[in-house]
Amino acid sequence: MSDMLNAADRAAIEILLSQNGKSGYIAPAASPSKKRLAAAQQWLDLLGSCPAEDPPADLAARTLRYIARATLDSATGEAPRPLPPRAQPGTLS
Amino acid sequence: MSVAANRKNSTHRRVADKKLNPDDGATRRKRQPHYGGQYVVPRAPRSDEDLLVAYQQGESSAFGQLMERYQKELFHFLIRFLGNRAAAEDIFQETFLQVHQSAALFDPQRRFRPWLFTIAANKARDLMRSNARRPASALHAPINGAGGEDGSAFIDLMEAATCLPEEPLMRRETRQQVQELVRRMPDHLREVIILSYFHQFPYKEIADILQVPLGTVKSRLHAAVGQFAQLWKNVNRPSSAA
Repeated sequence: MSDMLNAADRAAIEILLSQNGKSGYIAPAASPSKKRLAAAQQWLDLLGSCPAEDPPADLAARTLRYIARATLDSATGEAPRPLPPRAQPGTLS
Repeated sequence: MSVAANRKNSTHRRVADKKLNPDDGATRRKRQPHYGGQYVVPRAPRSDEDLLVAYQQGESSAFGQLMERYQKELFHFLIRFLGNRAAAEDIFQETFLQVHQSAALFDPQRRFRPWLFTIAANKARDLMRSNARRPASALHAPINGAGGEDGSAFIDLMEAATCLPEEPLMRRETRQQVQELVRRMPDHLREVIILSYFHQFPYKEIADILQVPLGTVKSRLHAAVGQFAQLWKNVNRPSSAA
């Protein structure tokens, strides 16, 4: 697979992600300029603005009930119930 | 015994103990079998791995604690990856069902968090594979607008930064646009950038979670940032060159 970033940008991304987290950082061969690091950081900041909704308050309770039901089903020899058809990944709801 | 039944029985046992020995706290603590003799009075938060071991040994509430601990983070991963709330809820439930079913197989020498995310990522990918139909996108920019179809074009992050918004965190529409672009990225790039950037997994753990070589994790990470920048550039071209 081809990378779409040049070597300096790749190095900048690796440096920034290693600062951001504990990414198993290995020092890149190229040493990006401060300006390039700043630009890469701007892109990561933009990416970081991607929102994520919180789970519904009853999700844990529903999950416990789901597990209890599935466990009961398997104990009585019933086939596990399939996921409901509402799950359509890729469509924002 | 089911989780709910275990929990119910555990509660009943505590109530029964209280009735039998209303003043004898020491006796009650001795009687509690749930902590396997290791945690008579929990003093500090237990590790994820300890909780799972406790669950294996019959402490049903430990499972709820684990779920509580990871509810938000796992859901955020799933909703960013799947782009759909209902699907994220379903995979969340399937993931913890798998944790419940495989708890006995968990090696406590390993870390729970990457194991949890491995299960979740596998299930999310299975769902996406089983549902190949992708929705029509509201944004019609090509993925590789600046170059070839094989992703071989290079984007310069510094040059492309001219089309970045000034205050990306402040504007709701900007965040929605970012969300849409992340959703449009290929699955294998989206999952790696989410795990690395949003959940800060080390490269090695990402490699384990996705079952790909370390070098592939890094190349996908670079490609993910590059594609994201390219997508953004395609739909946000500046009105005048900087």
